[in-house]
Amino acid sequence: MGSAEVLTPAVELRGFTKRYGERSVVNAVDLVVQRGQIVGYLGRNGAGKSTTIKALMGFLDAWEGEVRVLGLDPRTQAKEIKARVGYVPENAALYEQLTVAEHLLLVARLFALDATVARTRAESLLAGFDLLDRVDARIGSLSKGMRQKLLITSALLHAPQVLFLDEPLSGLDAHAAVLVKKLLRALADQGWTIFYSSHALDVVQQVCDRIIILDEGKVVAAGTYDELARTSGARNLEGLFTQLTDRGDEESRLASILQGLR
Amino acid sequence: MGTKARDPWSLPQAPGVTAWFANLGVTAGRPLWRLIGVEHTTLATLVRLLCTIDTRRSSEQQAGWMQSLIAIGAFKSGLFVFLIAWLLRTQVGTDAIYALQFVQTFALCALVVLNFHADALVDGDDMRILGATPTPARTVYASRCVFMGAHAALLAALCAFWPLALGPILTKDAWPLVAVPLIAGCALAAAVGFVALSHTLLVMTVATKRYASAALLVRTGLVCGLLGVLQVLPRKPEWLRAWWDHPLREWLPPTSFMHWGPVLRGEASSAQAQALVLASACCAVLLPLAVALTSRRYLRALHSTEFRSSNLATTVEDRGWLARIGDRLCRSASERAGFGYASALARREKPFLRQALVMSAATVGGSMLPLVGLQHEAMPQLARGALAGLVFLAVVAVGIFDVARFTATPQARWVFAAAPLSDLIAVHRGALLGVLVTIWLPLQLLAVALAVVFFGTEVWIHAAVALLGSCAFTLWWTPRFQYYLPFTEPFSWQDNSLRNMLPALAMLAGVGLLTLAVGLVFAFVPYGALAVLPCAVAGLYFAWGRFRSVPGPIAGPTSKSETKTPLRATARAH
Repeated sequence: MGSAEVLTPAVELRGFTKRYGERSVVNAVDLVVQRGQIVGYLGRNGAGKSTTIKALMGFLDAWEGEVRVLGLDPRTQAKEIKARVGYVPENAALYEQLTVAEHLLLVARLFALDATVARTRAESLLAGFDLLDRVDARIGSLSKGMRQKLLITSALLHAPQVLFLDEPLSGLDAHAAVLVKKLLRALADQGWTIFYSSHALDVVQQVCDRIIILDEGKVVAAGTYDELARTSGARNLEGLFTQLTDRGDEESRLASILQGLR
Repeated sequence: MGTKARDPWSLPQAPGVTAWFANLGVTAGRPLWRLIGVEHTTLATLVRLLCTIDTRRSSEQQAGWMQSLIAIGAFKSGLFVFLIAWLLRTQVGTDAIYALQFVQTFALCALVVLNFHADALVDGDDMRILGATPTPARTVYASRCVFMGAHAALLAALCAFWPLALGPILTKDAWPLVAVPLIAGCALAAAVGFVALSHTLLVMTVATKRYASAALLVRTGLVCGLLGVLQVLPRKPEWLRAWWDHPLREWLPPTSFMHWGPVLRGEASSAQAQALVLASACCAVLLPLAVALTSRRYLRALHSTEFRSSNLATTVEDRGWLARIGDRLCRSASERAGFGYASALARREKPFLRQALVMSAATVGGSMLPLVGLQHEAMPQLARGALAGLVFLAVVAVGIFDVARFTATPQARWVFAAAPLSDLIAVHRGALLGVLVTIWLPLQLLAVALAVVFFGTEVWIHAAVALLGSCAFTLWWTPRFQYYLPFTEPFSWQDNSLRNMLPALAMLAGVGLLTLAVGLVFAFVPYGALAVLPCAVAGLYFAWGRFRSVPGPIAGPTSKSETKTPLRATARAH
């Protein structure tokens, strides 16, 4: 890795705005993620978290502002970006008829990994996730948690420089969740950059170096947990998040639901 | 000697002829792939996996039936080509049969490809699975094109087999032996290219989420448009004209209906009106009979009876007059529920139904032009097209379940998901009745009324044709309707098997015989309708009784009849 490359931020957004029709989903977001950081990206449902990640991955093609991943433009260099990043989507699909090994071999081929390296790495990852004995099982027969482990394995297989995670712990049991959290910390210590979008606030508080909170498409808070807690006086991230994104209508919405159930 | 176990860490080599054709497409098309920027190695990997996935999926869905979709398609087209060729050989005795075979091969191959394999072309999940890898979208689409092309190539080979096999028997000329495979191959290539282009554009336009609902419309439009173009070619070759005008076709249904006018005694208009009455009688007998004979003997619910019992309230709110009709026609609560489902479907899915009906009517109108035109050569082209469209409205209405299954706003689909229904076959009967009453009948009346207003009373004969067409359509589709009920296990390819297809084929043959018999009665008996109608009424009575008496099991994963109980066994138990 050259020195210029090290200096380039892993993720950079300048005035990033995404509209669907007249509606702005993300509105003039500025953020910089340095390499080796774990950044928690939080927000209510529909705040624009997944949209941001899709733009960073090059899945979207029309937005305003400047977006860079490892110094590359997702609009024109999506292929180069994808070769260097890993992605665990929130709602993933898999070819149900393939086996675990076949899926990983497919991923390895698409990332142009050497077959021997791919197999060795895949076996290590699967052993770590307690999936080695399911290597010949069809994906259709796996549980949700096993699928999630497979998705994480697929995202790590080519040893990316940046990981985009959208609710990565979804469906994982407590042991696996602890393992993943430790793994993320260890990877960050090795210089990997991790962009972590989640609603599991306690996990974000434990794992992330920096936290960015999005509300209605705008960044309403950014900093380390300690900085944010000091500024707001909140006792934990949940309190801080609620304080920043609360619209004061919980009581009326709760009443509406209870009314509907009568 | 045991078989050698496959290393799990190796990419599978898909077996079969389709995979061979796919590999051929990848290898032979290398210059093309390079030209359009598709990565050859990635393409080969993807195609290989798609073939594997297809083989495994097909094997799972057929549950050991071991019959390929391709084989079914080839059987259908081969049978059709063979029958027509044999008839013409015996009746005409010219080599025009080969020209006909070309046409039929073209149309049927394209039809089969479009209907059976268009899904193979675009999978909305592809980019969700592969999107995070550095694989360009064009490579993924190319792999799907090659995959579908392999199916098409195999189909072309199979379809070309029939004329080749028949050639030595039917002619001494050698040219058809060369021309047939070439034409079949070109037709398939054109069809695949056309489908590839349209579906790719479709995905780009409506995005993958709405693809499933839009694809049905596009596919219907493509099939119909293709047949329409084929039939309305402005200059028909001499051989086709010779075949088209041959008297033999007058005896083939449904064309035979259109020629009743001269055969029937008395005034032309009254004779045509009699034809309409007879066609109605045919439909009235055959539609319910088709349900009774061709439906599967059991249905299995996706949810338990307890689950479905948990939320019945307010799922169905019938309009008063419709509910009264339902009460009259249906005998059990389950039948009434099915009836309510169909009427809810008609009410809640209006935008989608309207779109589907208009599009289908517009596209198929073209394909029915010659049919209408034969009767009224002098009628302006536009008027004939409009009339054909109207007629088709009636035909397509029977396929409402098919349309509704792919709706993007499936409000109606959950209407009955929670209903405590114990007799799913009865629900199916009720639902079909509901479709007939709430959608099919009004559309038939509308089509006929509009046609009468615009074109006068000469359209009765077309109404008769439309009725018969509806009937034939229903015969083909009835076995599938029950799977479109939202609470039952979905339709699978196994249900399209010969076992389920043969009764429908037999019923179609029955329609032909019936029209022939009716024609003969009218030819020799004055006031033939008087002779035929009692038989039709008796048949209707019998069929209706049979239709109403088919019992159904109590289904549901947690109910006692979770195992698939054959209807007849249940009937005996009752």
